[in-house]
Amino acid sequence: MKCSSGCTAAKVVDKYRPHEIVALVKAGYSEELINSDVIWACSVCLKCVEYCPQRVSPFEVVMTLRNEAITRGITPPKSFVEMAKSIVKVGYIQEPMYIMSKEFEEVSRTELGLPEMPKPKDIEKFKQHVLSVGFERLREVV
Amino acid sequence: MVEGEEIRIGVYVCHCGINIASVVDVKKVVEEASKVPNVVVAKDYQFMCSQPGQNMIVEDIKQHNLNRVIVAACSPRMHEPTFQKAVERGGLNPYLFEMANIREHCSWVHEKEKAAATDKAIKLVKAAIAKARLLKPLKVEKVKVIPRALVIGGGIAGIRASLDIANAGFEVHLVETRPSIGGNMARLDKTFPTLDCSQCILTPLMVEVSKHPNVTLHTYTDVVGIDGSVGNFKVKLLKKPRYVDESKCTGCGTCVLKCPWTAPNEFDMGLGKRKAIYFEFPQAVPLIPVIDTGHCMYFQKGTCRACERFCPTKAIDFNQKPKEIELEVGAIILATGYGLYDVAKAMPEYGYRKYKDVITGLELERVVSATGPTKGHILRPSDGKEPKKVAIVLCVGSRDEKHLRFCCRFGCVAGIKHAYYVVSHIPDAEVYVCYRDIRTFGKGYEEFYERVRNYENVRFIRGSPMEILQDADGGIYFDVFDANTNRVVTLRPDLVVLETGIVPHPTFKEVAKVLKCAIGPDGFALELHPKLRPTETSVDGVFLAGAVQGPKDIPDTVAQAGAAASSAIALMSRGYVETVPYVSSVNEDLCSGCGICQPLCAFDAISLVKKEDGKEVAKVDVSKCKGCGVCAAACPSGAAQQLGFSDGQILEMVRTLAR
Repeated sequence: MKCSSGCTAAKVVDKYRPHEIVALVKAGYSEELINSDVIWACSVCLKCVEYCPQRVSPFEVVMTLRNEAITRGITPPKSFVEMAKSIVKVGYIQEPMYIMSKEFEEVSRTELGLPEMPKPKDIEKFKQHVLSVGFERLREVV
Repeated sequence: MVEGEEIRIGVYVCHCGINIASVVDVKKVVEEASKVPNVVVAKDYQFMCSQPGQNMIVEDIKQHNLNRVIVAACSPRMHEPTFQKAVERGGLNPYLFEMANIREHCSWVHEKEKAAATDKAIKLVKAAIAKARLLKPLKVEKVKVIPRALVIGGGIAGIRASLDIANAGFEVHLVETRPSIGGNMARLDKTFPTLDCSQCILTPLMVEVSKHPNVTLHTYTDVVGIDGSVGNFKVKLLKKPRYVDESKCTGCGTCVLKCPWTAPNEFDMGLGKRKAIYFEFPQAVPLIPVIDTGHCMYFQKGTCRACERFCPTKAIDFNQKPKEIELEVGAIILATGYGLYDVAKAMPEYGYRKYKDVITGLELERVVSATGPTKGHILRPSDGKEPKKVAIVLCVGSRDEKHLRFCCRFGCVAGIKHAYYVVSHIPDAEVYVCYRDIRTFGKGYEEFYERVRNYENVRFIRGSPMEILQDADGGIYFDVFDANTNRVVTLRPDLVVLETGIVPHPTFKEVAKVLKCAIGPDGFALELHPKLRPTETSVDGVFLAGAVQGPKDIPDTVAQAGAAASSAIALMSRGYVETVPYVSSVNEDLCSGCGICQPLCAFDAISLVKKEDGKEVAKVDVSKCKGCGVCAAACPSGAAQQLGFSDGQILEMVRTLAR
């Protein structure tokens, strides 16, 4: 259960356990998961794919469940929809603002000598592409 | 059989209970076979391999004056030797026998097509008849076995096997690449599950083997060449120079005391230091030091010579050269053991070698050992402080599709033992054992687990960490999901012990190459049969002992070493081996000396020789030939033929099958 030990999402969403999702699917509880909020917690860091000693990919299982949920017209949790909307709008889950230092001071990227975050050059074109690769299936975004 | 004699064939079709008879119409096979020219008798019987079945063959040979016998039954791998012996009892050469496989190749795979299966059985029998007509008697030769054994590897497996062979009265040469025998077992502090001191049970055997009149010890020696075959191996050893005259050295240790230069101690897995001239460990056998030229100032800069100056017996010899030793032996035991999986390189996520306080189980053994780098006190490497919180991680690299697919078979109990080490040395310490499954299959292992599980300060966490990290203060921490409590716990241990997976010892690959013995997909030596012939290899006369065959704990290693020794003893005390007659034979008149066959031979059995008339021809060394048939298949002129499977015989079978 290395996946659940190191999962980035599990550190934030306590209910989210990649190994448990795989075990539930194997045991035939897919329906339960498709209708559950828990499958939307994955942050796609792919650590579970990288370190699984059995070459199981919990990430792919979760993505399959999400696709099935969308196909059935199930609405994802609000937070996920908001993130999707933001991507279509500005190209980011959240617009980069500032960085917090260890002493809780706000510092900008330029102050740290970091380059500007790359942004979609043509936001309209970007929007079209994002929609065509699957976002269009999410009613709330369209 | 006399040349030109009439061919008289007996055909016997076996029912194999119902294995064959329930699918193949055996009566019809008999009927068809009896119509074929040269077939004198054709019969069916319930079990041809039974005593009455065999007797039927013996009687018929005499009564009907048969000179060829065919049994249509199971695979020749199963019962060919049985029937060959029956044919021999009947007074015929055992190679005038042919087997038609109508079970594995027919009834078992065509269960649902009975009529077609019967047709196929008839064809297979007719093909066997066609080949039988062309069979020639073959000769088995007896080759003398040299009553001397070579044991490669001086760990517990090699020591035990050497002692068993020596005690049976045979000469043994024990070769060890390190300066002392003892192997990995000498590194351990205690052995599970009884917790007896490893050195205390090993050193008496080390001394016994070194003093045994039948044993010649070759330490600091590598095997560089092996030639020949079962009964007659020619072995080349290379003795590395110690730069200490073994005949003069008394093992007093003055040189070690006086040497001003140090290097990491390999025996302590690099944790402590040793001198440039050093004993591998205090109980080393033989107790003769060795100079590490990489760290010796005399070899590096040409000065110092402190050891030479202070040696009371003038044993230091800077001019010692590598020495070649040649041996002839009848049997070889491979006991090269294991090495640790390179976790630092393969699994950087665990931070081994990056964080000082992440160590391996074998390193902890050295830390706990009274002769180790900390004189038996558990102190963590980073600051020399006593750790109060220790995490032990099992299955590091083992049982992992991306690393080692197999179980190391001692990591669990070693980890449990390591938890015991910590709480017995530091009673107020907390120990966390992170496991995937606990496998305590050996005798007394589960009881030992039970004992340690009951310690209040040892906790078992069912889950493995994904990564081990360092925080800003330099402390190490990791998250681990515990399936028993369904919670992710964050541990901040002072010391992490990784129970690493194991791989074959680095020297094994080279030895396997010179021996041409088969290696399994896991990299370990492949046994001839996983259940029934676990100590034999693909090379006759070469036997396996211990972790060279696969991960093993000490009890299993010792048991297998005894089994390997008894196999070698059986071979040497019989005194001879019978050659397989299915070897390649070259017709020198047809051979053009093109040499195509020579590099194709996997067993180095073919050489090109000049005949008296100056013509070059291929020559087969029958003692090395395994009868694989590669040369016969490759020969453009048909000069190379495999006896018992000649082109003529095989083509005749094909013609019959195609008819």
